[in-house]
Amino acid sequence: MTTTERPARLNSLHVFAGLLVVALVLRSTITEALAAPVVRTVATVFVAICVQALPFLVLGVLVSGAIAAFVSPAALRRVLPRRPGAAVPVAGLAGLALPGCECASVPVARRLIGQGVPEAAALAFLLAAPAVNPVVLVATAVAFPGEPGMVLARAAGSLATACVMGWLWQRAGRAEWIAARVRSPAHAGSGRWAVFAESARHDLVSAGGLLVVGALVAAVLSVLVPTSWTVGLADRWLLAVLVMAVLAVVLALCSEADAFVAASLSALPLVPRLVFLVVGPAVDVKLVALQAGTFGRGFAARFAPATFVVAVLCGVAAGVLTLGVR
Amino acid sequence: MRRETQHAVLFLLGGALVRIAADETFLRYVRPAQRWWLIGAGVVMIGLAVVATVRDVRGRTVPGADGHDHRTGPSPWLLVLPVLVVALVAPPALGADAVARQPTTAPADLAAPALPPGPAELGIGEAVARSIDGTLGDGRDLTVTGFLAHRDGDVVVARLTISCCAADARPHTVRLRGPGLQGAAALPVDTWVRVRGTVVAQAAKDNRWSPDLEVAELTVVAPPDDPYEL
Repeated sequence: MTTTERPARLNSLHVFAGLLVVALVLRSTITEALAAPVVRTVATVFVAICVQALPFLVLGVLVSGAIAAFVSPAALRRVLPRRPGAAVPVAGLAGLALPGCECASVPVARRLIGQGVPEAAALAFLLAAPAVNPVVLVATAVAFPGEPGMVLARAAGSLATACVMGWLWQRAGRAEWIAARVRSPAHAGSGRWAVFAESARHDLVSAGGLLVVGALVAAVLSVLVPTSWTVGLADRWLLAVLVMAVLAVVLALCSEADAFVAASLSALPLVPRLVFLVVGPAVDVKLVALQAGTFGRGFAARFAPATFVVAVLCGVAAGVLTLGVR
Repeated sequence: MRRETQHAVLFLLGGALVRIAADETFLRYVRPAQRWWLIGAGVVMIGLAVVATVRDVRGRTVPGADGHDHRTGPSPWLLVLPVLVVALVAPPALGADAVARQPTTAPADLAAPALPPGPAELGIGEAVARSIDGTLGDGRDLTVTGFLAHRDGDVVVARLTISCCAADARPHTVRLRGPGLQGAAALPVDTWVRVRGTVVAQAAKDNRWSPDLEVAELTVVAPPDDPYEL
């Protein structure tokens, strides 16, 4: 990209216009290149993930813009307990109030940190919101009509993951792992509505591009790594736990839909399927892309693997305690 | 990326969402209930792009006097990708390739009331579920509608069930049998058909949740607006 102010130089707007023209001219070539059945399957899944996730991302940036513009840091401090250790579970439970899937919670957690909420609490919110909200829990109950314990186990496992990660961050996390821009206040503007519109627009543009990366990776992986992995795991409980945890990461399903996929894999034991539901909303490829772009790569490189391990352990623990070893 | 370009990309992306929700295109990707979500999200995107453009033109925004927004990095460029894929290709709904790629999975637990005796017309997901729980029974006259697919050397009529978007699609299939199979085998995969025949529900137990249908009558039909089942 150029840094000059001379209008004659090539800038991104010219590149963008050129790209559109080339795409239109080469339209039939592109369509032909995408004609192979496997490529079309990937393309359909890619567009499906984008189309399904973008409205949730929009909801998330509207909430995050509203936090930036209308909620003062002082007001947030009054709501949360003073001790960060106590603020973590409160922030996790606050996730009940954001009825979306994981894409919505990333920009919101970023703004919470920007408005001075302790990082540990904001990260607990980030992990809990997509998993413990009422829409997701009702979907889980509908998907497992004969197993009411699944709803309880899912809520407990996800909330435990969020709290453990929050407390872990408080003990071992370093402020410099989170990109400095996260802590910078929202764009200066000439009024609250201007701050709202500019924060929402900025968050949408920067997070949206990352969502696209995540959707592309998930679409390719879901075709390369089909659910046939799960065939023949019925008697191998531990292996099933690991395979389902990895599948949750690579499939990047919306947390409102993953319960139905888990229910359909009925040959597997119950606890591995619960682990799938606890890991998926906390760490998957689309979410890691969003976190890397929002909080910085150094953050995602540490946070995502740690979350994966904690989510698997919490999922197994919640499953064994509520459902038994089955 | 320059702010003008960001606004242009956001505007186009919002336009693409509204466009696919305006007709039936969005049903290839998500559930029908998501139409108003898509339109709402598209309108918000267009609105944010227009507001930012107007404010930039009036010189009301501060960041980077050179017109750049350095804090977004290269990622906004990637927003162009879904716009181009939707505008140029508009990939079709998942079909025979997705069915061949995934093992069939168990149907939802229906707990549905018993079927009255006599001929029945069912969705494929429901036909599979009723084969498993025994409410369909062997020898019944059954009609199903779906697309043709090949799997493990068999010809099947398939539907994909989605709960949210095409990424969570699960295939349900009915395997075609009998002399009437010839007509189905000659047709290309992904052809939508309505098949009437005699069901062998028992077969579902040994054939990975896929009951058999002795084909009596097979008609090629137009694809439905919503290619998926819930």
